Amino acid sequence: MLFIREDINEMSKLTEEENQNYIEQMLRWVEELSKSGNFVSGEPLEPEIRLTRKNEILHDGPFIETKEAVSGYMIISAENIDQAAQLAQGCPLIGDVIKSIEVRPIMKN
Amino acid sequence: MRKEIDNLYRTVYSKMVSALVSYFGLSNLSLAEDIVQDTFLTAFNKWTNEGMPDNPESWLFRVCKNKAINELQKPVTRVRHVKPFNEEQAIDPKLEHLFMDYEIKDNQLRLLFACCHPSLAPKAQLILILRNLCGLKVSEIANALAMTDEAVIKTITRSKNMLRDGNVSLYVPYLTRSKERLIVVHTSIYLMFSEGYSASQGEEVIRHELCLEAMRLIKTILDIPTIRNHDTYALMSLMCFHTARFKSRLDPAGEIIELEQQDRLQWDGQLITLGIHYFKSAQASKLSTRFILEAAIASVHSMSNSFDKTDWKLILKLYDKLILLQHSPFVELNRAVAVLYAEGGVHALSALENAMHLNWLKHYYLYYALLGKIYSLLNKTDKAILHYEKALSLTKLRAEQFFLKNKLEALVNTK
Repeated sequence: MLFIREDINEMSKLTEEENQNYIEQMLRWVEELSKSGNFVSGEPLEPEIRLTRKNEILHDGPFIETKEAVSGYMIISAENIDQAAQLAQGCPLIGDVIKSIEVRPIMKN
Repeated sequence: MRKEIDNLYRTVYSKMVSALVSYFGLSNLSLAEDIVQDTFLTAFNKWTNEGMPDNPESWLFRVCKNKAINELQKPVTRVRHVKPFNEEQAIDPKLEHLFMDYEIKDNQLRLLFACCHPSLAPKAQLILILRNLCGLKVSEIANALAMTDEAVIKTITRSKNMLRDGNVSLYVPYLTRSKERLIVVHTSIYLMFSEGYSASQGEEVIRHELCLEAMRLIKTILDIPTIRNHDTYALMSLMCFHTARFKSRLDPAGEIIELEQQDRLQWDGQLITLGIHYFKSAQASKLSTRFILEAAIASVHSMSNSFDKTDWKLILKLYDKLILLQHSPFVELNRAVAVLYAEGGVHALSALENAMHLNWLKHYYLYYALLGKIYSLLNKTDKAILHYEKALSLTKLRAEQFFLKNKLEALVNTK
């Protein structure tokens, strides 16, 4: 599972054209992952967010501590976690709008 | 002479690197590359002054061997952790067997498998293969893969470090491991072919060469009965079918011709026959792997005399199987095309509406181009125009813009 983290402030400042360009680049990455047989699924997420804790539901994320919020996820298949991390690094927007991608293996049954 | 040296570089670079790496181990890949680069530099300098020798390839091999021996004999040598590659043969300081003919193909194959290390991303594997087995320069690789030179260099460096630290042996588990690695090797070669085949920007010449290189590499695997399998045959057949159509895809002005309009007489009959021959071998396994299904789909197209005579129902059945293995937005889109011609526009619309990856498709120009096609076949001209316009707004590639503009003009003229 890849958790894609972006800078929410930067994201909200993108123009329509920049946003479109960003999604197109992501799409090309999905195409690359599909060709090499690694893509399983993934969706972009809407910017609406709720943060749920035991006694409260916040309408904003913990944006003071971290400017990074999870903006999308992807499920890929890879040989091992190292390859998965290499694949994640191949994302065209990493270092740009995307600040980091957290890579976690999904538990097998 | 520059040109001749460039050609030699392409063919001989990988022979020399793979031979050196077979002797010194993969941990010495950088050193091997340096020795070979040095050899070519010496060649360039010498031949510029004295002219080319009668047998340039032998000359290069001889000089390379000497440089390698020199390196081995240095008191402080760059050669690290030299492993004798099989028990009977310790490292021969005179490197007598280096570059023996029968060894060359074998070494290249071993290097190919070694580059397909499972901890490397497929793209990194591809880049290593292009560099070390196809002898492409960094700028050529960058151009072929639409990357910057820096990005390519970075990937190569990182990958080599990974291979070096992982102490990857070229020889010992070769035959046994090669069966597991085969799927990775196949995928890498498939990617190489895909890059060469895609119609996006880049030099036409280099892209065609990538396709041929991919076929050459698959052929070397096909020649080894103990390693090849059904997918090797499937990939070869797939590449034959696609390459057969190379000339008919673009018109003399370089504009895109869609499948419907392609002149099938321009399709290379010999390549198609070859493709069918290999496909039969793949089919004999009775398996339905991704490559076998893709080859099957290509075979149906290749064997149809015309667009109208194509068995779309069969193609749809094949896509139904393929989508179970590979459920990507792109397979969904291609399947929808099959639905269009097998079952009609209404069903195709429904297939698209129910696509699992619709969220991605909605940003893809070909999705709108397909909608445009569907609506124009359903005689809903206004809707068709709307979608073709949307498609046009989403692509920056000149050839595709030209293609879509023509579609729009044709529709507007019918109104």
